[in-house]
Amino acid sequence: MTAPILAGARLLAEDLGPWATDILAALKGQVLVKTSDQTLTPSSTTMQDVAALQATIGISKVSAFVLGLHYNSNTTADLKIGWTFPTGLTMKWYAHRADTAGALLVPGGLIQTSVLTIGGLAADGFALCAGRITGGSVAGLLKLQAAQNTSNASDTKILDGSFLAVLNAS
Amino acid sequence: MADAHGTAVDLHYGGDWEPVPALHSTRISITVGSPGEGQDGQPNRADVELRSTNHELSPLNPTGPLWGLAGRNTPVRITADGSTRVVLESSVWNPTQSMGGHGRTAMTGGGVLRRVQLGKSPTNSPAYQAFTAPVNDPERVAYWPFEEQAGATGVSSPYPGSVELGGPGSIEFGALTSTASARLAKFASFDTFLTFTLPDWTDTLGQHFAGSLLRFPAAGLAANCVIWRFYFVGGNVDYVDLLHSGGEVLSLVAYHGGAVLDTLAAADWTGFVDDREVFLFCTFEQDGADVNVRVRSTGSTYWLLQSSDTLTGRTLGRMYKIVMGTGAGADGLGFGHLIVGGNRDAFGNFIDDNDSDPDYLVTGARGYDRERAGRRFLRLCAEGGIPAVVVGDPDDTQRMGPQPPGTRIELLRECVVTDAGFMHDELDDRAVVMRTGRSLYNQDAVLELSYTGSQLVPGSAPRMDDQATRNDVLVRRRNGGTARARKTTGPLNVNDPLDDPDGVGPIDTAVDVNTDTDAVLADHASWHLARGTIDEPRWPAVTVDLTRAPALIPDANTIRPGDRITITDLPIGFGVLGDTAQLAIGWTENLPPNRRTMALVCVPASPYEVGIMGAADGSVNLRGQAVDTDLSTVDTTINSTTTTMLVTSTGGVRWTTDPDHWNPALNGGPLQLAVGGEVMTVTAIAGTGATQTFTVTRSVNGVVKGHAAGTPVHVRYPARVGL
Repeated sequence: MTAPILAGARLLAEDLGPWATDILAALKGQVLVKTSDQTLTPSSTTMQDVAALQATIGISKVSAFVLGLHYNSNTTADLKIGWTFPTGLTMKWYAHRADTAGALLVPGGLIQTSVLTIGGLAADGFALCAGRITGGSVAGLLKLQAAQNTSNASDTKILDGSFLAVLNAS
Repeated sequence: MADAHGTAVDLHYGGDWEPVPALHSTRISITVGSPGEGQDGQPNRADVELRSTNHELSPLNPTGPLWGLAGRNTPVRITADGSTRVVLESSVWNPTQSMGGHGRTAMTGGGVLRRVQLGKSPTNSPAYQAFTAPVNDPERVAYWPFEEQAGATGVSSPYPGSVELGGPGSIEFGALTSTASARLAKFASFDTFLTFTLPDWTDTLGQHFAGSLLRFPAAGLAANCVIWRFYFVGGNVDYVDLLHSGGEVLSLVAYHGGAVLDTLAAADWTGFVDDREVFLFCTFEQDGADVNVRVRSTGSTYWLLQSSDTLTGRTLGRMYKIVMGTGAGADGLGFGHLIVGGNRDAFGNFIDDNDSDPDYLVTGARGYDRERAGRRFLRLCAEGGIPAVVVGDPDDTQRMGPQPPGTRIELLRECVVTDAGFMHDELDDRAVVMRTGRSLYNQDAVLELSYTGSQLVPGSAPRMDDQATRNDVLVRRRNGGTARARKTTGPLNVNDPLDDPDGVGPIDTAVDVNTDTDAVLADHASWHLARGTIDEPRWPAVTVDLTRAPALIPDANTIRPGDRITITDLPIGFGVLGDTAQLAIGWTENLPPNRRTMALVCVPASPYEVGIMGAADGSVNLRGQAVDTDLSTVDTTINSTTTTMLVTSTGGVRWTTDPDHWNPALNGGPLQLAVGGEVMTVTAIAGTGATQTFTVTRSVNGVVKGHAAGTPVHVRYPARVGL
C-alpha cells in the first residue's frame, strides 16, 4: 500500500500512479483461484487448509464472498468444509451443494464456525457458497478448510479452478 | 447629513429603523470577521462618534430625542454607498464633554456573537434539550432528568410531579457517563425502588408514551427485575410491568385484580441490552376494545428495535404512577430522563433520525454522534434562540462525534474548527455565521484589484515572515486519538535553516477537533499543515481606497468574510508570479466624513484551490489547475527568450502530450508553468521519454530571465486534495 494522499496535499503525478493502482486493487478485491488439484489426507476427518483459498480480512472490514468449490470425492468419504479465521471475524453464508445422496440442497444460516457437508458423487462436483464477512478486532487470514466427512482410504480432492472471491464492501 | 458616501447611522426603535436625529457628523470604524490569520473570528464591532451640539444624542439625556427609545443593545445599522455595512447592537453609550463644552456621544456596537461569547452557562444535554423543547409542550406529561451530580440529595424536575425513594438502599447520582445526557444515575443496590407520581393530566388521545435512558450493567440485570411498573386508573388494567425476565429478554406483563392478564411484546434483544446505553420506551394505545402495546429501543448501534402486541378486550385508562426498579431489583442499572407523554409518537426530536443520508443515523438519543458540523451549528443556535446562517452547504461539512458538555460558544467553535471553517457575525443582520470549510474552495474573485490602478492605500504590501507558518501540526480528537503532520522537506520545513535553505525550524501547533472517527485525523493534520506551509508572502492588510476608486464600490459592497479577492500587476519584488489570490477573512472599514477605506485581512487562497475533476470534452473550467510534480527539472540551461525548453522527469513521471490539455479554449484556460519565478504558457509538449520538449510562451508575468539546468518545473496552479 502506498502512502495515502492526504487533505491539503498537492496532487502529484508521482503519487497518483501508485494510488490509482491501489484503488483498482481495492475495488477488485481478492479473487483467489486454485491452480492445481489438492488431495486431502485420506482416511482422515481432520480439517486441513485448502491451499490458495485464503483471503486477508481487515479489522472490521465488511466483505461479500463467493466460494466456487470444484471437488471430487467418493460416495462414502463425502466432503466437509469449514473456516479458520482471525479473532472476532463473523460470517453469514449459505450454500448450494449436493447432499450425500446427490440431491441439491440449499442450507442457509451458516456462520463462521459452521461445518458444511457436501456429498461425494464419485465424480467431479461443484458447490457454490456465498455470504458476508465482517472482520474482527484483528486483521488476518480467512482460510478455507476441508476434510473427508467419513474416513475412507479413497482420494478426496479439491480441484484446480476452485475459487474464493472476496469483494470489499467497506 | 450630507456625505460623499452617503454614510448613515440608524437605530431601530418604535418598530422601524430611524435615522439618528440631530446628527451633525459621524466618525465610524467598523471591524468585521477575523483580525488575523489563524485567529478566531471576532464579533463585528463599530465605534461611532455621534456629533451634536449639546448631548442631544445621549440616551441618558432626558431632554434628548433618544430618551426612552434607545439604550443598551438597541439595534444599530450603518450604511454607506447604498449598502448595509453592518447591523449591530449598541452595546456601549459613552457621552463625553469636551473642554470647549461640546457634548458628544461615543457609541460602540457589537455583533450578536459578542453576546454569545458572554454566555457562561453550559448548554443543556441533548436529552434535556429535546425533552424540554417547546415543541413537546403539548405532549409532555412529566419529566425527570436525573442529571444531578454526585452527592445530590434530591431529584428535581422542571415540571410538576413527584418522585419518592423506596427501600433501604440508595441511588447513586452522577454515577455514569452518557452520550445523550450530562450524566446518569444508578441503582446502587437491589433493594431500592423509585415511585414517580404523575401530575393530573387529561388523556385526550387514549395514548401513552413512557421511557428513559437506561444503561444496563455488563453482567446483566437480575432475572425478574421489573424495570418499570406502569399504573393505570379508569380502566380494567391495574398495571403493566416491563419485565426483565432473564438473559436479555424484555416483555410487558399486564395485571388486573392481582392476576396476570397477558404477557405481551416479549423481545429477545440479545446483544443489544447488556453493557449498553439505550433509550427504551413503551407506548400504549387504546384501539377500540383493545390496547396496542409496543416496547421499543434506540441505542448507539442501531435504530430502532421494536416488539408490539395487543391486549385484547381491555380498557387501559390513564397512567398515574410509575414504579422503577421493583421485583428482583435493578442493582447496577443506570438511568436518566424518565419522560412520560400523552402521544405515542411524541419526542421525535430525540428519537428520529435527522440526517439526510440513509447511511448515517443521527439522533439525540445518540448524542448527535456523526452529525454534520453545519447542522450542529444551526441546531445549537436554534436551541439557544440565536439567529444563525451557514454560508455553504450544511450537509457538506465534516461529521462530528457526540455533542460534549460545554458553553454554547465552545460548542459552536468546535463545529467550525472541526470543519476547518470559521465563525463571524452576519453583516446585514443580527445573526451568527458559520462559513463552512468547503465554501472557501475554488471561489471566483469578488473583488479584483490592480496594484497599479490607484486602488490601494500606500503601504498595502506583502510580508515575508513566519507569522502564519505552522510546520508541525498535532490534531487531537475529543475522546479519541491524535494525528501529527510534519513537513520535513520542501519550503518552510522544520529543519534548521543552517542545514537546509528551505527550513525555518519547527513551529508547532495543535488543533482540537471533534470528528466522528480517528480515521480522518491524518487528513485534518495534513490540511492544517498545508495551510501553514504555503510558500507565499502574507498580505495582512490590503487597504482599498473606495473614495479614490469608486468603481470598486459595487463589488466591495458584496464582499463577505472568507471571499476571494485578487491583486494583479504586482511589482516583481513581491515574488508572487505577478498576481495573487487571497481570502479576505476580515476587515476594518473606516468611514470618516467623506471618506471610505477597507483594510482587508487576507490569507493565501492557494490552499483552497481544490482539485476539480475535468470532463473529456474539456467543458469543465479547471481554473488553471493541473496535476503537479516534484520530479521535473529544466534539462538544459535556457536563456531568457527561447521558446523551446527541454524538461527531464524522474520516477516515471511524464508530461501530457495531449494538445487538449494546453488548448486555451478548453478546460477553462491554458496550461501554465512556474519555472524559477517566471510564468510560462505551454503551447506544445512533444516526446514520450524522460526528456520532453516543451514549447512555451515566455515571461507571462513579466519576469524575464534565463534558467539553469536543474531548475524545478511546476505547474502554476497545482490542484490540491480537499478536506
